[in-house]
Amino acid sequence: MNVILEQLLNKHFAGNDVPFHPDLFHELDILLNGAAATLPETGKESPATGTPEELYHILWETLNLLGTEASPMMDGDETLHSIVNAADMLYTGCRNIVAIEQQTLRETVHLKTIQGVAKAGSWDVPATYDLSAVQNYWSDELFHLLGIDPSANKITYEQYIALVHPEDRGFMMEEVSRAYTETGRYDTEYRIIRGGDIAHPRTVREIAEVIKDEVTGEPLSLIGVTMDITDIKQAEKAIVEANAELRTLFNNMNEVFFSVNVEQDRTLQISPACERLYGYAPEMFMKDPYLWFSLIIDEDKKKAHESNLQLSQGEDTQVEYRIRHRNGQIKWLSVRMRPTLNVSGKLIRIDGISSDITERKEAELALTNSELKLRSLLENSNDAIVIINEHLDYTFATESIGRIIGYATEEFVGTSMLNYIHEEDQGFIAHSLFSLNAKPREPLPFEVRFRAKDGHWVWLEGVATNYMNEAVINGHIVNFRDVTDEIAYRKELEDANDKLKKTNTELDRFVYSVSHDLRAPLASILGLIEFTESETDDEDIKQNLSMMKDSIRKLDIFILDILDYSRNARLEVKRTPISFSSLLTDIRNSLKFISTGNSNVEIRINIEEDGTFCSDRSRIIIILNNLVSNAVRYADPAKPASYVEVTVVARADGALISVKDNGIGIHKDYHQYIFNMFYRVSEKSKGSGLGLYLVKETVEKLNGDIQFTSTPGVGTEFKIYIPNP
Amino acid sequence: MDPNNFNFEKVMIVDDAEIDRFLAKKVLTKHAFAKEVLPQESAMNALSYLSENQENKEALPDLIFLDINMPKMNGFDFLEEYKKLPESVKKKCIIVMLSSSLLPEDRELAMNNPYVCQFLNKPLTADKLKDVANP
Repeated sequence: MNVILEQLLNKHFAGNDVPFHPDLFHELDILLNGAAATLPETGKESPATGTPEELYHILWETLNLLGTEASPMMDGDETLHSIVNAADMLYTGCRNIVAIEQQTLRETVHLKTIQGVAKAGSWDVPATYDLSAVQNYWSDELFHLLGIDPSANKITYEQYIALVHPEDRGFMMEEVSRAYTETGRYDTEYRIIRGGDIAHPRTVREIAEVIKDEVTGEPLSLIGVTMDITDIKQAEKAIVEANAELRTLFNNMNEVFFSVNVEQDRTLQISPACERLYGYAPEMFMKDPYLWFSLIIDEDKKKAHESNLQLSQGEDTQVEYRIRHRNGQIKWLSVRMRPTLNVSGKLIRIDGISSDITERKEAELALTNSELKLRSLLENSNDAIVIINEHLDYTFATESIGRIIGYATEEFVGTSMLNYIHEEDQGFIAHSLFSLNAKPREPLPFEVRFRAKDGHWVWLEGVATNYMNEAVINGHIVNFRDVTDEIAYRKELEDANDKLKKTNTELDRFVYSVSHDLRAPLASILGLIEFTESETDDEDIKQNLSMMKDSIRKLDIFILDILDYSRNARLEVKRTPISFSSLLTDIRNSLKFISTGNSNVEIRINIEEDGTFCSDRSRIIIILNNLVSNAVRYADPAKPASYVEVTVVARADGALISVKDNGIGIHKDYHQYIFNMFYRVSEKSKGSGLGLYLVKETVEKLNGDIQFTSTPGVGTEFKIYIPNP
Repeated sequence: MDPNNFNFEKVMIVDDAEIDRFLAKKVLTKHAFAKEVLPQESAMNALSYLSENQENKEALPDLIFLDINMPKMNGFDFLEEYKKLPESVKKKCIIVMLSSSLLPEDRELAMNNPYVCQFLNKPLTADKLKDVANP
């Protein structure tokens, strides 16, 4: 028993600073020593403590000291038993003391922790205006809060005042004095300079109460709590600012915020943006809780209704519908709402945001429409569009490939392009791919043979463009169409054309050699006839020879005309600058050699040219040669001075040529025939009947025009216009 | 024209047609155009003659009438070969094309050749000879 007591007391001495009455320790010490000596040998006298009666007495005194109020009861025979009882009681008493002390200790620790966490220091100061007075009690947290070392445990009132922000000292002291004299307490805020840092004052809230003498009512002390509320203050300020910003947003945002009390059908709030969005002021919505619904156009009311059902089940909703603005405009709104249900699951409140999405909706609709349009264009087109990725696999194909190559897009997409290309076109494809990769975004035309689903080869013509770097495409876009028929037709045409060209060339060579071979002997005969003429004086022979010559010339001219005709019909028009003066000189000279003997016809030439006129020289010669030689050939022998007058006006925009003679003229009955092939006006005609036909053909070949006037016995005039192309 | 005053000493005629060589010879002689006429029935023969006599100035013609349309080697082929002959030959000979061709291309091609000085159409007549003698 005494061992337990000793242990308890030892523990008490070791870890406690709570005051414990020193006399009690002393008495206990003796008691314990006595008990230790006595108890093992019952009935024997302890040398240190005397008799068991004395020990018993001491125990009771000790118990009394500890607050046990019962009186000792001494039973002579039961002395030892009584001592044991008293010792038991003492043990219990001691245990209580220790327990209470431990509880006090715990509470002190708690208090400290609370003060630290709350940043609140407590204090107790004497009620005096004396500046040199020191505090009764300051908690550790107060020291910490003021930035003072707790070991400097005595602070004067003056020292404390010095810690208060100079601007706040006055009213702080006033508060204190008013508490003493009038209110008995105060609750105020002021700033303190913590650790001398005046740039960052801390704000404290101080609540204090005056303790008064119960009898006199005089203030005895002031007990209070000082809390550092700087952080709280800052948080409050931030909240106020955030609130102001929110309010600004609420008032100025294009979106309309609203809250509705569903139970009372009351609009709690709606932001002023509703004026813009709906055309009605917030008050109108406040007054008429169904206004918003009535503004929804009839077709869309169902959507709003469905969203309300969702809300009543506690689900967030987002709905898009059209409303009629007060000005009659239809607007698209997107409304997001969040419901609040009460504990029984009933919808009591809705908060939401409406925003104007008219522009977005219209753009979407336009996009959908144009997409639809594009899609149907693509699907119904004879052209197909496919995309080939870097591995040469098809990643996209329009439905229209079905019409062209017979595949459905599902079976086509994912296959390799190389599977379909004709062997002979593989090189071309490799070349094209190289070009495509070298030049992104540059369209590359192609024409290849492609194996259709039924195994046939189809000629495809199209354009490929490299869009590898375009994230959406990531490949070559290829559009193409079936040109199998065209190619076949073109090949036929090309073959026919080649054949024709060959024939044409052959014909040209044929005509040339025929004309040459025909003319060469004629020239020889003519030469010999002329030579023979010069060798004889026999008039009969001379006349015969002259007739032979005429006949040969006629044949020669005929051959020349055929040659000209053939050449005009087949040769390309070759344009060079034309000098009419040199050209007419040549014609005049050549007429000498092929003349029909009418060398007495005067050839007058009037030329006005600036060298800018271009045309086909050999064809101009054909025209002029024929017209001039006709004029010479059909000169009127009855007239004393036969002439042919060639007038040319040649400029950059074209040439006007007039060939006018005073020859025999043409009767108007024949006018309509003179340009016909092989047409000759009379048996007296010396030509082949090809001349004028050739002139007309040639003029037409040069896109020109020819007109003529002629009166028998007066003369003929041909007027020709030839454009400068 | 004075029959003793010839325009040229030696004139060569290159033509495959016998009638034309015959006519040319008659006309040239009659009009005292050439003292001696050298008819050649082909361009090859003409070239061999010129080549063989390139050192013999006396034997070389002063003037050559050259036909265009001849078998095997035509007038233009002759001109290509003629180009390769030594300067001594080309310096002495004047070439006149004599053809029945009326193709402007033929005339142009001939006139663009540096050795050709005239282009005449057949038949050869006294008037044309005058043009050659007095161009």
